[in-house]
Amino acid sequence: MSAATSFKARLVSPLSLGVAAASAGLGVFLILALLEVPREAAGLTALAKAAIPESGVDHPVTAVLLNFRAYDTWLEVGVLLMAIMGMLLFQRRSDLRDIQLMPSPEPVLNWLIRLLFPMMVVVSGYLLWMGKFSAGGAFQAGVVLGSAGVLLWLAGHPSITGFSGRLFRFLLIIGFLSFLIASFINLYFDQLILDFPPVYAGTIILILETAATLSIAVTVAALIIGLQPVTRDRDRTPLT
Amino acid sequence: MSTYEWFLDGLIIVALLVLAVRALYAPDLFKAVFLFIVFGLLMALAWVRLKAPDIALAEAAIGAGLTGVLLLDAARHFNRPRPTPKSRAS
Repeated sequence: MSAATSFKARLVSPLSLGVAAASAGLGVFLILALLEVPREAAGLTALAKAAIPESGVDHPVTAVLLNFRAYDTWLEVGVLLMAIMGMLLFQRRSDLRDIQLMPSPEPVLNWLIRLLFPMMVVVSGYLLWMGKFSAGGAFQAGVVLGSAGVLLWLAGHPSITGFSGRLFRFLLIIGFLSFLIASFINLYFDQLILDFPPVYAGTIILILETAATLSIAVTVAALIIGLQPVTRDRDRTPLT
Repeated sequence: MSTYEWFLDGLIIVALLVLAVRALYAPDLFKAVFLFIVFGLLMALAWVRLKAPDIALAEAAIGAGLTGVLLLDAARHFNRPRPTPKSRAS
């Protein structure tokens, strides 16, 4: 209650009025700037579209993300790695063991998990494969695979928390690592990083995306599972 | 664009704005998080209408799904009273 009232009190303080005025001013300037933007932006659309045959994939979004601007994607995978490293540091953890939930006694839930989990794995693989020619790709596939893992964990299945620490950490870095290795190999032959030769581009992109999917899936699952306090397991035990 | 499409787009825009304002001013953290998740799903719909299915997939999966779960978890941590030896024993 007190938090809500102090929040309301802060809403009308002079400082917040000043912030509101500044935001409104910034908003006006942004709208004015938006009006200045030329209708027909030059952009890189034509250039990117012309280069798609050399990218190794047919879908423009995947071509940009995994080939033309692969560096950005690499760093995004790095951001996820930093996030999971921060979480593990804060929770003083190096793997997901010892946060196993009690297996659920519900037969319906267990049946549903047995039905849903393989389906989610297949959907994830399909999304990954779709990235070549349509909407899809590593991030979406990774999130689906990661939520499948969270589902298994919620049902008390021992497979997720049974990962050895070494395998868990390897899966966390494999996405970033594969981009790094690809860059090194590329640098050796080409003096450029992440500039794939058109002949191998499709294969390289598929390998990079598969590795990124695994990393993203494990990162997503670990972000959700790893945040649970260890005591939760003990709290639950008397219930069953 | 047909009248039907104008109607659909207008509905999405109005619903997005209403959800955004309500999520910002929700007194209850849980309510705010749920409104944010619904906002994310509607936003995915808006991306589909803008012919950007890639962003729509990412928005639904990451914006609504993953962020929603993490925010719910954070809200739970905020609302839970600090465990004391007494409450743990009872």
